[in-house]
Amino acid sequence: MKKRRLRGIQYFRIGSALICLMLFLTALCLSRQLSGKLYSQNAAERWQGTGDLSFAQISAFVRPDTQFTIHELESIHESVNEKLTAASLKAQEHARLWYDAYSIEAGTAEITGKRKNPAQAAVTAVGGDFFRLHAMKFVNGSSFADNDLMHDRVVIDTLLAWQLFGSSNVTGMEISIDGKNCLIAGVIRPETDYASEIAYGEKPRIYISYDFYQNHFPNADSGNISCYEIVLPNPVRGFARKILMECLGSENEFLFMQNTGRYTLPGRWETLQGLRKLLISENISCPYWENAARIVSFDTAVLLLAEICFLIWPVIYFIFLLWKIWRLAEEAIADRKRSRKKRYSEMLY
Amino acid sequence: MNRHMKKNIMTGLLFVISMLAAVLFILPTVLTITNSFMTEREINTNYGAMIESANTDKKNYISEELNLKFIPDKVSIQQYAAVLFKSPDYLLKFWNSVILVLPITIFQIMLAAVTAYGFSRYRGKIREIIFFIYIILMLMPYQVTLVPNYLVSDYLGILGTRWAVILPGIFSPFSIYLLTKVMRRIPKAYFEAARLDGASELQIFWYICLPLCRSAMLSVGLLVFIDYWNMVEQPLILLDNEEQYPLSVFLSQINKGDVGLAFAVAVVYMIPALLLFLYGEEYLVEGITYSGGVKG
Amino acid sequence: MEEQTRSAKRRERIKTILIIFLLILLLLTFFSNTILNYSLPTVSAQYASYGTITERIRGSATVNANQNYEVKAEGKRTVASVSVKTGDEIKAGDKLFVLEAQDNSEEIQAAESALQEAELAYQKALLTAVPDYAAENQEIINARTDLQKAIQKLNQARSNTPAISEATYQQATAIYKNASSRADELSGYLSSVSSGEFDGVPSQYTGELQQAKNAVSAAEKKLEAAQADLESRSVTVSSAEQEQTIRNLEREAEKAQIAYERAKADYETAKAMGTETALPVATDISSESDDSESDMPSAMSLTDLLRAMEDAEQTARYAREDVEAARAVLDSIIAQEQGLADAQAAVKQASDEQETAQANYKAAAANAAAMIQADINAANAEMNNAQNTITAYENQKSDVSAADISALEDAVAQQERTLQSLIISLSEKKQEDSLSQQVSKLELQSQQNAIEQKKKDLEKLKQNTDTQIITSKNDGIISEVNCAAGDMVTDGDTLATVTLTNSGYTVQLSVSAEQARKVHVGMIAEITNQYYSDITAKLSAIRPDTEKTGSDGKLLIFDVTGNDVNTGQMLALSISASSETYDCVVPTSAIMEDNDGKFVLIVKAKSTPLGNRYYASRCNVTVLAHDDINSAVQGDMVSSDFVITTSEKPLTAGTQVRMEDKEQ
Repeated sequence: MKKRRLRGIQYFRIGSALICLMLFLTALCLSRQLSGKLYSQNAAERWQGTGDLSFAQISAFVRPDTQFTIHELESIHESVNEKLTAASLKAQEHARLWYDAYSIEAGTAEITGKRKNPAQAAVTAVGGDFFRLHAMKFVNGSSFADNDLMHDRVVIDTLLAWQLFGSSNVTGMEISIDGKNCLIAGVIRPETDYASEIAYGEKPRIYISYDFYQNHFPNADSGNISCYEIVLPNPVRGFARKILMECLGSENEFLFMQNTGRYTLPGRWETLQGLRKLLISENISCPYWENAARIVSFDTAVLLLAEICFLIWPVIYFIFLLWKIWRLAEEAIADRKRSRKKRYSEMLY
Repeated sequence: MNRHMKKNIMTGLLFVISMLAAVLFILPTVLTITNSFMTEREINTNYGAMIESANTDKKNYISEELNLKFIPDKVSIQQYAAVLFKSPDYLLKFWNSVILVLPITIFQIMLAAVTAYGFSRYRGKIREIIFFIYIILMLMPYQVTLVPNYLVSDYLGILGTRWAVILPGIFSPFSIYLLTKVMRRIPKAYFEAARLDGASELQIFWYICLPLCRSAMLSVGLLVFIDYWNMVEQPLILLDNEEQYPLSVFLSQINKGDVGLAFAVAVVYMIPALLLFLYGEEYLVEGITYSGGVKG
Repeated sequence: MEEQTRSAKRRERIKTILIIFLLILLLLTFFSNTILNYSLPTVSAQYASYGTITERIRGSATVNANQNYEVKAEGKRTVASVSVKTGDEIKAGDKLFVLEAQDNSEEIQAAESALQEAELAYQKALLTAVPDYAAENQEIINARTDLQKAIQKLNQARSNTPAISEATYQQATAIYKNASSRADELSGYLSSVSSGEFDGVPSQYTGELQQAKNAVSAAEKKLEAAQADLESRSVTVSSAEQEQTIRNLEREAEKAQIAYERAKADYETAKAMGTETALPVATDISSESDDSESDMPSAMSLTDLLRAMEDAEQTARYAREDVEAARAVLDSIIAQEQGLADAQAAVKQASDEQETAQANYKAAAANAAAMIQADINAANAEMNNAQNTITAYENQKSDVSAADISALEDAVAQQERTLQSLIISLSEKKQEDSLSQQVSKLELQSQQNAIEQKKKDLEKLKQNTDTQIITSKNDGIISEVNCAAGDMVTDGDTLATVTLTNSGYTVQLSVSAEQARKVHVGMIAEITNQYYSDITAKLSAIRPDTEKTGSDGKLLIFDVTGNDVNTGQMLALSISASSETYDCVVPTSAIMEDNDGKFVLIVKAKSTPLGNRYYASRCNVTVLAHDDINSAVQGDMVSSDFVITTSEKPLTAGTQVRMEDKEQ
């Protein structure tokens, strides 16, 4: 065998290929990391548990001209159930097959606690399984539910708890929103990933039940909803989205966003292709979690681009190596044949 | 050509037989390696009938008979990730193993070299008797001397500490015997020449004997390492604290823990031994042949 | 040499690899715990326990006194002085305010004009129209008729199309054929019966008929015989004539007799007289001639007289014979007449019989004809029925379909509905009108009352001219004072509100119907915003909430007692609605849900030779009850399980977890 010494250029090639590969892996891991932190986007995976039926989480944001009220929800539930039974998808015993959540931003309100120093907080009126869908981390207490007896319980975040009471251990205490008394059911910690921090903002938040909102807030009689999220079974691609669009409305009335699969490779590819669309604000006020998801979407799409770029050189080099090895193998075989022939011929003579 | 062909056929036949034997011996290892790339679910399916703590979620299929599968359904490095990243206990136990084995190996070799030099250089009746005792001790399995070891360790007060394992290991007779053999083979002429040159005993030992026995020492060291890398009873009996156990102990109780994890751990555990073997392969072969060999 | 260097190199490489391996492992060991903490979620858990679930209903409301009374001003005045302030306790008769005299001429004028306006309005309001419902009634009638028509059509359609089967059709056809043939037969019979021939007619019809006909023929024969008999007898002279003749003859006989007598008398006289004188001869009386000329008496001789007497006697005899002959003739005539009469009677009888026979026959014939006709009719009816069935069957094949029926039914239903709706709307309208009438009546009443009131006020105004001291009527506490000295108050202004302490306080809480269901009267509520006070509130009534529109809210009325209660105080109430104990109570945050139902995650420790590992394992539960903080669950868990309440990030069952370091 001929001795081979690696030439400088080969070092460079190998080194650069390895570096690119490393960068590719880094980008991959990074994008995984970014998307893994957003719990408001993986409600479908959490709902699936260990079952075989796959689910999809879809959010519908109400466009400015559309009127979507809480009174339509019952008919939507019925039609969704009809469509699901028509597709022979049934819930198991004592279990639900799907669930939804709705919310509306109710502006800013002044919150006062016992200490009587008021704080300004952004009020969101929520209903349905909102807290289950968003999997917010409760540092204290728990959430309220639609079927509670009293609807005057609220969930505040740690910022507000700090401002009002100086501690997060405040479950059960009374506060008043613009003069209306309510009880704290729990304290959540805002999401800590970088995108959610950007999207959350500095203002503390308070979540009230939709009933409370309707009874005590002005202009709440219409029962408007601005964001509707639902987790539906999705045995085949596009099934859940189709059902939701049939029951809810068309693209002209709502902006539909399928959260599940947003950060997988196909999802990122799609986002990458429509990257510029993210910059267009469609005059729909998205809640902060959607803004955070969009930030992450953008980042992961850019990372996808970077991954693709980083992968080019190692792939080329790898192909080159294969070709080289092939050549070597051919040579070695030829060599061996020759040497064997020589040996035989030597033995004969 | 007849002889040639016959030779070829013989070679081929031997080759086949040895391949079969090799396959037989290597099958468990291959099983371990390939199973370490399986997902936990699959391992549960295959070995669930045997494992005590199989996943009782009723969502996994557990076959009634043990399945020995060589090819994973889905290659996943889930187990390796679990071992390397999520199991500080395993890694700590690995280092326990290292902590136990490394001193034993090193000091045993050192001690054995010195003892072997003594045995090989100084003949005498007493020496023969002691050597004979050593050989007999070497021949006995470890379990025979386990109880005396235990009692002595208790008496010395080292029971429950690592010294209870390390000290008996350091003074094991196996390497002494092998090194004695090797040293005896060194021609007396070298020693005499050195003595003539005015070297002291120590200098002879250090500058002449050891370099000549280096390969043998390496091979003996390798054997010792492998022996103690796989020890199970000594730590079990002599060590109290589970945290001091080496990894070999865990691997011996495979059906109590996670079987899938155990495969990956076994592979990780195998690697140092494998590497050391590769390192000292030639020495090992050489050493064994020398110790029982014909050549001078 | 080469080998050695190669093997040396190889060994070098292996050594390097080994060292790298060990270094990596060392690093990993060093960082493994951090990695572990990084990847394993920390959870906090607590034991499920035996506990109570208490649902509470909360709310806050202001305290109202059961009775307040407001001190009002009368008239437009200025307040001279205020003697009390908020929170004062006053007794009945305490002086509260002093009001100055007022000039209220303007007011009087204004009041008078207002009074006039009110009266004008009242008069106007009296003129109301009486509502008239003629149009609606007419509509209802029209709707009724439409409904009738629709029902008729539907019935027709229904009756026209009974479900008719093939068998029925065949049956009907057969029946039709039978019936028609029978009808033909029968009409043949009828015609023959009516024409008098009974040959082919079956006996059921003709039984009597034949007899009758026979009777008729017999009677006719008899009649003919009688008639022949009658004709054979003829009476030349009737008995009456004969009697006349007889009478004549009798007269003549008498005459003759008389003449004889005369003659005889004459004779005798003559004889006696001897022919002396001749007596005038009796002229023949029978001669009717009024010959008065023949008055001359003829002297007759005796012989003549004898002759005349004899003649007369003969004549009388002859006349008597004639009479007798005539009498005999009369007898025979009478007998003849008798016989004639008999024959006539016989004829009559025969003709009567014939007539009766004829009548019988006719009757029988008519009977028979009627029977036949009846049978024919029956047959015809059968035919008709069969025909109906047939036509119906044929029709049902062709045009009238069930859809039409249903369309007609729909039309009927529609009509009914319209009718009903019209009726309902009319009744509603009537109700409304009656209500509005009542309302307008009440309004009128109230207007009248207002007018009265205005009149009274006017009187009062005219009367009030001096300073007024306003005193309190009852004991109580002043809860509000609305005026100060120097203020101008108008009539009716509330100067102060006095809470009557004796009558208690209430608090009204507005809740939803569901919440109201959980409480019952008599429950004690806790006051949560008052400390160190002895205020108690007890639920005294649950009433429907009339203020909230469209909801079925309820008002919970509490009786509030205590020393520190004031009107207008804000109380925050909390009632424990239901309190039950359960075996397994966990915090609500521990209950999670996914596609397979609700579950909790229990920490299960797995002891390996390498130490304890904690896993979250899933346990399916159902929620029995829940309140603000806890929920009672039931599932395959026991009370001593360690339930995960919160975790760093969403957990899936089976993942390894780390227990939170709790500072004990």
